Amino acid sequence: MVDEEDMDVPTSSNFSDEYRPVRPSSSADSTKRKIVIKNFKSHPVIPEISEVSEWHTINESIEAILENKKVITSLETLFNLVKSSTDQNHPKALYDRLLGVIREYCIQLKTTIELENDIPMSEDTCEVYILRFWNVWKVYPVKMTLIRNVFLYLDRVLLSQTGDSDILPIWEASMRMFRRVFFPDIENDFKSHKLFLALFLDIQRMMKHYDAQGIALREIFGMFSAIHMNDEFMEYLVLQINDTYSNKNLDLPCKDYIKYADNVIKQFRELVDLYFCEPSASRVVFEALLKCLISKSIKQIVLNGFDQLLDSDEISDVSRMFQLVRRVNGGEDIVRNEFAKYIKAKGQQHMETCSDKDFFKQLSLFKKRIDLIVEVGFVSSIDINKLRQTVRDSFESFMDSKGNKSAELIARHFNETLRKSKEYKEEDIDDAIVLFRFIRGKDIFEAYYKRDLAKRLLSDKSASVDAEKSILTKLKLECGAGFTHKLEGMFKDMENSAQLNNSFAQHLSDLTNTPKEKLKYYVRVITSDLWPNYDLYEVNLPREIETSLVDFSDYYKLKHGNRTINWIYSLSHAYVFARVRPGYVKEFLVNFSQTSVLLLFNSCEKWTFNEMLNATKLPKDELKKTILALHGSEAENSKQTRIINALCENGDINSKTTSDNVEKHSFVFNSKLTDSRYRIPVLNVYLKTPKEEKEQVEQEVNQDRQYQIDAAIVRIMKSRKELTHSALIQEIMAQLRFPVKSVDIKLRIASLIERDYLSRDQEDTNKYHYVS
Amino acid sequence: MSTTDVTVTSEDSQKKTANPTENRPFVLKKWNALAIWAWDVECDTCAICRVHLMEECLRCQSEPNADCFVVWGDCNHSFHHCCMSQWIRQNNRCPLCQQDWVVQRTGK
Repeated sequence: MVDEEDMDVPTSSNFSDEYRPVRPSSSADSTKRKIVIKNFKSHPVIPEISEVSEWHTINESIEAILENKKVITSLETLFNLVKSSTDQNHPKALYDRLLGVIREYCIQLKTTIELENDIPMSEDTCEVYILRFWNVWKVYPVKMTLIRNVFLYLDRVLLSQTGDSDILPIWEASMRMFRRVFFPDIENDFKSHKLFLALFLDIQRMMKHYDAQGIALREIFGMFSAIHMNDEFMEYLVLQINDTYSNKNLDLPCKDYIKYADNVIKQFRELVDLYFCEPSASRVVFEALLKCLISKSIKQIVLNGFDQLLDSDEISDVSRMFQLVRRVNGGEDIVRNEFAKYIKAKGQQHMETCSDKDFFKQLSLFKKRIDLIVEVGFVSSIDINKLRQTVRDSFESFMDSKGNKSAELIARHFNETLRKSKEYKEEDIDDAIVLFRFIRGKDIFEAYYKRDLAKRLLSDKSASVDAEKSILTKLKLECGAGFTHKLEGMFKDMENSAQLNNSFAQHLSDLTNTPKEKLKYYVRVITSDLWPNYDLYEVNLPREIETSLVDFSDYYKLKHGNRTINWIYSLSHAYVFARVRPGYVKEFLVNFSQTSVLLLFNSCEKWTFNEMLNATKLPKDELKKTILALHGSEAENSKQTRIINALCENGDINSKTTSDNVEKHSFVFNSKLTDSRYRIPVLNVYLKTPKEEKEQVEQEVNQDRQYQIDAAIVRIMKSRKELTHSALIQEIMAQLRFPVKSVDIKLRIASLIERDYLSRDQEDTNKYHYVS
Repeated sequence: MSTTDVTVTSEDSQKKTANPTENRPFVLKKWNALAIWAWDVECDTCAICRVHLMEECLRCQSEPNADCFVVWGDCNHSFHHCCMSQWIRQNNRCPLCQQDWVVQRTGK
């Protein structure tokens, strides 16, 4: 582009030789003198002839400048001529004459451009046209600068003398003239101008061919600045963009469409930035492109293959989409809504199809991917917290859709992580806590967690007490002290039991009459209500066990007079030496029922089912399970590993013993037992089938929920003293950690009224009072 | 159950415990028992608030960490201490047997 700075302070070296005036002649000297003299005359009489000849000289020189001919008169002489002419005449007349000449020149220039009118404009020919235009423009400002310098005096006089705002400085006027001649009626009809079309086509051409360069584009854009046509061109550009890019490629899936749109926007802006030295242009173009590429059909774009876009691993695609869409008014809302739908649908699919084993892992991976999308893909969001909230809400909505499945399986994951056999990893737990937050039935989780914790503690399978405690701290942080109160109590029970056994051992050794060879045993005492419910039943204790348990009960009674203890046989276990045959001794690890059955064989070799039942007083089902566990599987190759053999009535060994026919058999010890292990753990048949366990958990939880509702009602009413029914229900719903129906709450309220905790208002039956 | 919690070698244990014999092939070596304790009460629910005596009373559940214990009267009926102290303001008799209420013992 032609630099205006340079044009303002021309020195002769700036111009080519042809503009350089010839050396001043003597006649020029005399003219100069004449001017000086004239200046001092007060009212000179100006001959008509002089003015005409002066204009003639000036006109000749101007035309010489314009037509690239040698200027005969020196510039200094010309300057003085203009000065005298200005002083003598009405300066406006001179100004009009000058503009007339420039106008003629412009018209003549224009003919050089429009010569080949018939060539249709296309991407291939546009450059020719632009070049032609540039050829015209590149000399125009240079010539105008020179002329302006010659007419500097006129410029000053006109500007200082006349208040006429129509009269522009010569430079400005010449620029406006150019505009009028080349772009007539541009204010009303900028669409049809060939140069505009040529420029747009050239931009299109360069977008198609990346390495293409725009010749003279910068200069042409400079021209627009000089003749004040930026606005018109921008307006034209916006219109063209609109026509070219609206409603194109809308059948493309979201991912590809966004790529295409992003590319167009990037390239277009790049070109505009490169050639158009107008800072606002880039923004205007961007907004126009955004409008017709994205805003106009935003829903269509986003809805077309949104899921596939999120499914793909290309987070950059997601982020590109979001960056474009979020700039559109309401765009972020659309994405957020779709995102919520996506999470819910994917999550639901997960809930339906995922096996219990993979459930946690898959869900955790899914959550991490969603987090990645939010924190990386959607990071440019205006309101990222709203997005995070959307994620939370969506997860909560599907996590509880399959009853208590999530709560159960997440609790199971904690168990897996905390089991001794596994290496404890902090991040495993943190992942689990993240998912745990989305469970609404936190009490169901607690119930399962409690059962698993009980198993870990009672069978010494916990990875570490530190890990256990740190998880309790985390759960406490999430749900408050009330949530972990019982779980902490369980640890306390374990610690108290250790102390109790120490003091009991001390107590025994203090008793002088205690025989030295005493059965070694360890008793854990747990607090009822803290632990899961275990089955309690009375049995005939084998003598060896009975004495020791009575000893302990007595001791316990001594220490805690207000307490009673019950033995939980189903969770007691023992190590039993067995002399399988002479010289072949094994050790069995067995539970209580198995122990009492094995010890029966000390008194008699053969026992029928009913005899066993009478002798042990075990519950029938428990005895069946016990026998089946000792008998082992019915497979032929398990003959060696069976501890007892089942005999038919005729005395034959029957290996097909099941819970249906076990009552008909009698049993003997298998003296042919061989096992490579010294200590043989007898497979513990499940205390409960998973289904029974589930039912029990749910029953426990439901019972507990009633207390919690009661407590919540009392808590609220105590602080509020009186409340209407609906207000009370609302507050309860907000406080409880589990989903609850208002019908259930109603029942609890009635129960509390009956127990004199609340009373109904005598006038307004919908209102309750707290009874203190 | 657990296979790992006791790691006594066979020689050690055989010395300490009587060895199994032909007449008595099974001998108990070690025994892990589990017991559960509860208050020694006639009825495990507080007749006043109908919450288990093992748990805090209904009012105390509303205020965490409240000091809530169990009291036995001379009649051997038991209640939450908090429930009972509310009760005797109106009626100094055991709600179950109508005997005069005298605290026999407390449990914490």
